[in-house]
Amino acid sequence: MRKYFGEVHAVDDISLSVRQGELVSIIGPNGSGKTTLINLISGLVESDSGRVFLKGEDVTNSDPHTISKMGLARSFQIVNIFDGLTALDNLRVAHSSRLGRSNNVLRNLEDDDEIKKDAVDLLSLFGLLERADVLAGQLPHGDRKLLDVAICFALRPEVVLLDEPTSGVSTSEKTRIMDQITSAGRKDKVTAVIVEHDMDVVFSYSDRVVAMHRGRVLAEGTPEEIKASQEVRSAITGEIR
Amino acid sequence: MSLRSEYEFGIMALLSLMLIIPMYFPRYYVYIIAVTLCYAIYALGYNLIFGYTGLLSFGHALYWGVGAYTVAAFMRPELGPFRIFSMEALLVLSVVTSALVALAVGSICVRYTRIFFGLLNLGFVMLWYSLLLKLYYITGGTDGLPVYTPTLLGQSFTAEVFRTYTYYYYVLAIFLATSLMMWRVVNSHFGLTLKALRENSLRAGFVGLDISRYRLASYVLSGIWGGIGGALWAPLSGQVSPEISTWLTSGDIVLMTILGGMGSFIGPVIGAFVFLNLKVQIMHYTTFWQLFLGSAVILMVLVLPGGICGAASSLRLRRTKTAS
Repeated sequence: MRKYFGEVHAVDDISLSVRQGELVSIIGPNGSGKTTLINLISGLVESDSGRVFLKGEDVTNSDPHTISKMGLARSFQIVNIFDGLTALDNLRVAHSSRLGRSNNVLRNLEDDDEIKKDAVDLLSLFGLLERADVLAGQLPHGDRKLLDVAICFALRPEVVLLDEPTSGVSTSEKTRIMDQITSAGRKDKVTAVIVEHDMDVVFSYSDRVVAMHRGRVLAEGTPEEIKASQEVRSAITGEIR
Repeated sequence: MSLRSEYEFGIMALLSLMLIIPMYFPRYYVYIIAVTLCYAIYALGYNLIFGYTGLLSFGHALYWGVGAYTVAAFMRPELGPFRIFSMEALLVLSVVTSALVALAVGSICVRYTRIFFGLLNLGFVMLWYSLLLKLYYITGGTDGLPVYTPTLLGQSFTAEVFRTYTYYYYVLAIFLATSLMMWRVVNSHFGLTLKALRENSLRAGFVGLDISRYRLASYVLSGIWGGIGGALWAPLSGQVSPEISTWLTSGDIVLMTILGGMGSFIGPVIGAFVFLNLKVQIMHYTTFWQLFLGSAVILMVLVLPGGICGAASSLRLRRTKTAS
């Protein structure tokens, strides 16, 4: 894949394939093209060249809602949720979209116990149940981040792209998010690609790590291989720690 | 009293008041309130696209005009035996015409948001206005068309009884029915989806929602409510002319919605009542009613951005806080 923004080679000839159920972490210093790569895959930005395949189907430059309907969900580096809706309703939006009920005009939402139960279950899984009726815009940052990730899981995706899911989140919540991702991976064979700065998280949870630098893949391998790589250490982990 | 029963009590009290109005109030007021109810239906529809979906249209009088002209056009003497006087049939026709126009105009407009959406709508209402002027043989040009007294459920009435008594109840019944339907719409899955689009259309796309489709659906529903309002109003007015659907009259509905409070379901209805009745009262004293209404709206936006309903609910919140 390739994406240039003017003179900036944000993503420069990257080729990446992820197997079903795998958890791949993308690491790299700021500006190395991690987010752009996520944006390319999820259909937020158009690629200059290269193609994206999801479950064998070409989804290059498809609309976000089309890609989403095919089972790919993503979260955002900068929290991107429905601020004027309660935490519960944030998840209900996603649940009703997944169940194809969003165009239901006459059924009362409050009477839909299935969606309510799903939303409540997910809220408690992410420790947000006490704040179910708080407007998302009024939640503290850590909770907003959790909600952003929770919306992804409300879609019961086959693939999740999580852009810095644990940034600005307390350590215990980090574990909560990562445990959720890995358990979904094991239970429902959810494939996860995460962009992450916290090396403890990266090395303890990933199946595979991709190190990016200036729009290119610097190294790729198991956490142990990446940890040992002198090249990565000088370019990435050194810069971060 | 709990919040809910207090609310229900309020609605029942208001409804009883509405029912006895023709018996105790001067005929003139009965007429004014019937007109207001027509605007209230229109405002409920406008609030769906503006308040719930977050798209500000400066051209919604188009649908009011389509509804009103549909009624007038099917009553024209030139149609001979095909003239329609049944108000129910005319309402159904107005729903069809306003839905078709909203579908056509909407499919272009919903591709844009913010000011572009607003201005495109403004462009379409002015296009419609010029069509009303130019298509003389159908629309009567600048003179417009007369609207005759229709039959209600097969019964015919003299113009006097119709305008100050029977038609009032007819309009009230349709107002209640359309309010109830709109209440269901905004509290449905679809209603929540519209709010999600308003809050964050980017994320809505990433939860798998086809944004344009939902915006269009909201726009068409909103247009239908506008059409029903206009159609009901036409026999009250007895006359339709191009001036009813311009960008100026489109502004009135925006003002009513803001005045009443776009954040709430009932706000625009209250806005319509306050706007129209204030206008009538001020017109008793001065022809410069715009000056006073304009000032009221400026004051509203500066002091009470939530409108009348927003102010009422924050007052209630303060009251319960001090009570507890």
